[in-house]
Amino acid sequence: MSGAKRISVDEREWNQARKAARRLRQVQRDLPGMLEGVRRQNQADIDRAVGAVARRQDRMDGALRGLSRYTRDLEERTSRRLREQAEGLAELGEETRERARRLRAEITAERADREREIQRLDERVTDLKAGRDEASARARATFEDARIMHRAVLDLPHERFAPGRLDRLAHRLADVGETLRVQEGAYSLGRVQDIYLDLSDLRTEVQLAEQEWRLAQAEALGALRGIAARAQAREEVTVMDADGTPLAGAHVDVDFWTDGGLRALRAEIAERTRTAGDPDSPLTVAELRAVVREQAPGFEERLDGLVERAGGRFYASQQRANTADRVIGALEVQGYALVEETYAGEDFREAHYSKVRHLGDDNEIVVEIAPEGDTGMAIRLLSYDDDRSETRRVQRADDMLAVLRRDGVPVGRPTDLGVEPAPEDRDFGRLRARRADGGAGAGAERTRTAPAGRDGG
Amino acid sequence: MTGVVAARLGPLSATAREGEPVLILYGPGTRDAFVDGACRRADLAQALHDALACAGFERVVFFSLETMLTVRDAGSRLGARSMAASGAVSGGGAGGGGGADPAERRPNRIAGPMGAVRLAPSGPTGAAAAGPAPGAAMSDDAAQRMIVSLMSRHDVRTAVVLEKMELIDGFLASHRELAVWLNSWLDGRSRGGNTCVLVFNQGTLTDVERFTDDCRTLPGLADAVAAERRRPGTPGFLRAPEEDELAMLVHRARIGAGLAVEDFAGLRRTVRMMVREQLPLTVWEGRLEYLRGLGRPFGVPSLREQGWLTGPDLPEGDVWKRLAALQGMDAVREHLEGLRWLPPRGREPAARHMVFTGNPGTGKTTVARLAGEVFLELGLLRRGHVVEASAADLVSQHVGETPLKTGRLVDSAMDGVLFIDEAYMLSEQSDGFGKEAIDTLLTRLENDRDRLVVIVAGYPAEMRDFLRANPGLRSRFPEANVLEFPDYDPATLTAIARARLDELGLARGPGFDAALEASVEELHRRRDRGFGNARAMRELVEDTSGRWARRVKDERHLPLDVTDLPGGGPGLAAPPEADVLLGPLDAMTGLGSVKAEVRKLVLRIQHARRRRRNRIVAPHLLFLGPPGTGKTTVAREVGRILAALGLLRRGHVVEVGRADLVGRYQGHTAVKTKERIEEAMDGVLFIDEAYSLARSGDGRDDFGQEAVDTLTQEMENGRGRVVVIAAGYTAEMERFLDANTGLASRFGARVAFPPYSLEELLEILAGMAAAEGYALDDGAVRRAAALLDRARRAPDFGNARGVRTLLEEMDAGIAARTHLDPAADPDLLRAEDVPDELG
Repeated sequence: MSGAKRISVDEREWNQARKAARRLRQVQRDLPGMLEGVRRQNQADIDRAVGAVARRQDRMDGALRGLSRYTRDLEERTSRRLREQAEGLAELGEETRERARRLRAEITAERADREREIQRLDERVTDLKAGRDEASARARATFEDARIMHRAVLDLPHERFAPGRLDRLAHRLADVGETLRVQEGAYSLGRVQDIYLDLSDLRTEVQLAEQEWRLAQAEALGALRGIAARAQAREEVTVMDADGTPLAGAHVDVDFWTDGGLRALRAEIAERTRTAGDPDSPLTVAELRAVVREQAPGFEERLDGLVERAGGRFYASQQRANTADRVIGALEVQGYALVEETYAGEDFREAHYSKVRHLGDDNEIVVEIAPEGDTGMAIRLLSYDDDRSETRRVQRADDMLAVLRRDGVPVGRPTDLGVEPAPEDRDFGRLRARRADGGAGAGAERTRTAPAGRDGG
Repeated sequence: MTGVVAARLGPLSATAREGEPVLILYGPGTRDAFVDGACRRADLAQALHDALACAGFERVVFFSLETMLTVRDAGSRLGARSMAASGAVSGGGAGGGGGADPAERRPNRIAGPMGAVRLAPSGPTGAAAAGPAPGAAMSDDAAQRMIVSLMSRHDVRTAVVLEKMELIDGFLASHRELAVWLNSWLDGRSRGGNTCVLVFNQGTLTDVERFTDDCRTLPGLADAVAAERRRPGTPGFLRAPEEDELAMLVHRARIGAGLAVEDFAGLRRTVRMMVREQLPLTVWEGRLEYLRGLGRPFGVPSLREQGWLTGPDLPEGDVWKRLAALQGMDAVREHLEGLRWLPPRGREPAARHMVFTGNPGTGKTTVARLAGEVFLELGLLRRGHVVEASAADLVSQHVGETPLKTGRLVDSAMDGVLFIDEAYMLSEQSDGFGKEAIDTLLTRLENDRDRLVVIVAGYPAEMRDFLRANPGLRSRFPEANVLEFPDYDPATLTAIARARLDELGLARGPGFDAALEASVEELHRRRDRGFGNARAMRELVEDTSGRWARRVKDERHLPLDVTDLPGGGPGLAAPPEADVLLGPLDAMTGLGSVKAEVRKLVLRIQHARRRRRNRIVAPHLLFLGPPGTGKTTVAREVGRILAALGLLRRGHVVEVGRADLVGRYQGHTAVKTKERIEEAMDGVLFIDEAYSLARSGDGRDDFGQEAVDTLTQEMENGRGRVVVIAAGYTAEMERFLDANTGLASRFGARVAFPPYSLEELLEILAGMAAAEGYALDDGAVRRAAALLDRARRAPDFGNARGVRTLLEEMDAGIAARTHLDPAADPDLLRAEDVPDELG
């Protein structure tokens, strides 16, 4: 028998908050303005990537201008193809990747042709003396071409996309250079040509890989920017009623109502964007692709969850306020008047406390409406009175509950808490100053909103 | 808080201000609405709230079983300082009279993140969303706790109004705590400036007292009710609205709803006629609205048209002018005018109760109303209305009901005039209930004499008896306040009749006016105690116009004719010639002096009539003489003659003796005597051997004496309408006349009936015999003369009666003789038929 009673509220009936929150998940995901921003940013990323590839190609073309007639046409064809490929970057997606594959196949086929041609030349050199001089000149020219190619590849991020291969080719080039110097070039022609073709291959491969990486980076950035934009756009959402009409005043600060969850998510997205966007990002193409396929949807999922939670808690808080009002109304019917009310720590997310005083004998009752989970609530009645008649207390609680039920609040039977209410629970100064346990992280400085909310109401 | 209190609640407000801890409220107004001086309409609770707030109560809380506790303003809420006054009701669910849930009407006070928005109610059924839930009321226990705790606080002056005490009484049976508290409150413990107002739905304080007697839960209530009874002005009585309030109601309907008003100058008078109906304000409210709906302007004609005004139109002009215009009742007028100039009032209020004596139709009720207005004008009564009642309205047929019935009636007349017509009937009630009524009346006459004027009215004699019947009554009605209302004189009555005929649009033909005047004069002369005065004129006019209509049939332009008057103008036809009139009397044998006396009377009457002067009243007569001298016969003749002369309407003769007048027990005689007189009304009461009423002379024959006294009085009362003829031996009759000092003077003439002479006796014998078809031969005459001469010397000789005896014996004689001698003449009486002596 005590003056403290807990009144349960049938939680199934409080699914309105959840429903409202679910509606939030379905709407507001993509806003037209946001999409346009994201698209523009994406385009800029791609333009940047295409520009970089084009500049690289220009430099490559300049570097290869000194090639001999034996290799120039081959390299020109390769360059043209790479340039075309680079231009296709602007149209991201499967088509580009398919074209890259074709390109690779074409280049491989051309290389095979070239090898066969050199083979034929080799046979002729051995047979004809006249051809030997020709072959020597060709070997020397090819050697020079190889050196040019070597220099050109040095300029490419070869270590990133084909680590170690250029070094090995450089050694072979140095070896064959020595051989050319000490004996007739014609005999080294095959080797020189092999080295050159390997260097050419390396050049194509590195250039293609770079292109591919840039493509993947742009895609990853696009995905991350999209989710970042959505997260930003949903910093504040509006709760809708069942008809989809926005409820007046129902602007939810998602970060506040998720105890800083949104801010944390956005920070994570920003970090990932920074990593992926670095031109020297260590991320591989596979990793960049994983950003698009897995990480971005994960962020999206978390964002929806945060928005839903914020909406649910926000709605539930309003329900608690309404319930508090009904409880006060019910007590007023029984002769009490509201003296003061506050939220713990003046924070809407916390329990609401109202103090009513009997008009006649000044006895007080404190009503606590505390959140239970994100969308539930629990009512506690704390009676501070001289009259400790349990019958009368029970009667009073019953009278009040009848009014609540009449208003559609599915309250259950009160359970006795077995203790007299603590004196500090009627100290509203203390309640106002109380800080939420565990704080709200990044949102902590924005939690003191209750007074402003009251004035607005 | 208004500061304007509905007029009817003014007295209560004033009493509450004085700090009375218990006030009771009752009367028809407890179910009414109110309009205050600022033209605002309020129900009882609101009006009461304003009245108590005005009396300095900071908090006024209403308790009723329907709504439990309610308040009417934010100021009555404890939390008013901290909470904005939202119009919401704290501590009650029915600020405006119940119904809607206050929670649905007031904005939320607890702001959530969305502010004060109220989310759509949830709930599995959605029932709560279907509409406002039925109003929640404070629980019994909570209400009980609230009352007890509020009233025990001394920091805020609080008034608790308990509505419908009749219902709360039952409620208290099961709410011990409240009952205990209320009883201790009524006992005067723990008060501290607060007050408790108990509202009863009873019509009068008497009803409240009766309820209190039956009330089991609140024994202390009786004291509170008794206190109200003692309080000057019984401030708890809520009556029907008065002039100012109804005037405000009319203005409200005029300004607010656009009711047209026909005559602004006459508005006050119209409203006063509305007040007279004594109806609740709500009734008039509905009626005014109806009138407005009809598009009719407000005024006496439209109210009359709807049948909403029952009494006559109120006269215009001030009461003093109307008083001055009262005709034919100078004494009454002077008395009422005298009220205007009164000596200084002492501490004890003077009793102003009055007695009006007079016949019906003499304007008593009119004057009573005028008296009410005079008292009102002088500020001696607050309302001055007149409650008209008869004895039956005070008395009940059930034991114990009479004091209640009387009490209620007196309550309804408070601050006005209670007019009890035929009040003497109260003392004539044989079952004793009338006495109960008088006793109740006596108390109230004394206690409420500053708020009530009682006027008792009735016939003069009865009223005298009435006042005598109870010693208290005499002292309550000072002699100076006994006002006599004389019957209207013939001229006034004629004027009334003429005016009524004019109203009917009937032209008066030649000679009609004179005939009417004579007719009215006749009616007036023949009037009895119940003469209706103005009412009798109405009857006369109705009768006359009816006759006129039957006579003229379709020719309705014809004027009234003398013959249209009832009886063809009684007494108007020239009286028969004296000789014709007196013929039958003259034909009688002897009685020379009697004949002369009667002739003298007839001639006087005819002379007076010719001169159209003084009305002639048929005199009472003394017939003195031995038996058998024709007194009864002459009395019949006198009756006939007086009727022919128009002095008596019927002229019949009622013959009585002692046995017919004297009763068997005290009081019976007067009744019996009066009955006989009543029987003889418009004719002759012939008392044979009247001296027998005063037989002993030693005072032992009280009953006979009573008859004489009654007779003496009634002879005066009935003068002109009944002629009393007392007959007997001369000597004995002297004793009779001595029995009452006033008696002798009542008789206008003494007619001596001397004994017949022998010749007259023989003449009578011959006449009687002839009437039987007999003749007497000379022998028979001689022998009869000798016999009669002897007999008439005896003191007890019966004169004409003796002659009758003689003739009968002679008849027996002739019968015997002719039996023996059938050839003898059967019609001729002979000497041998005459007996030797009279048997």
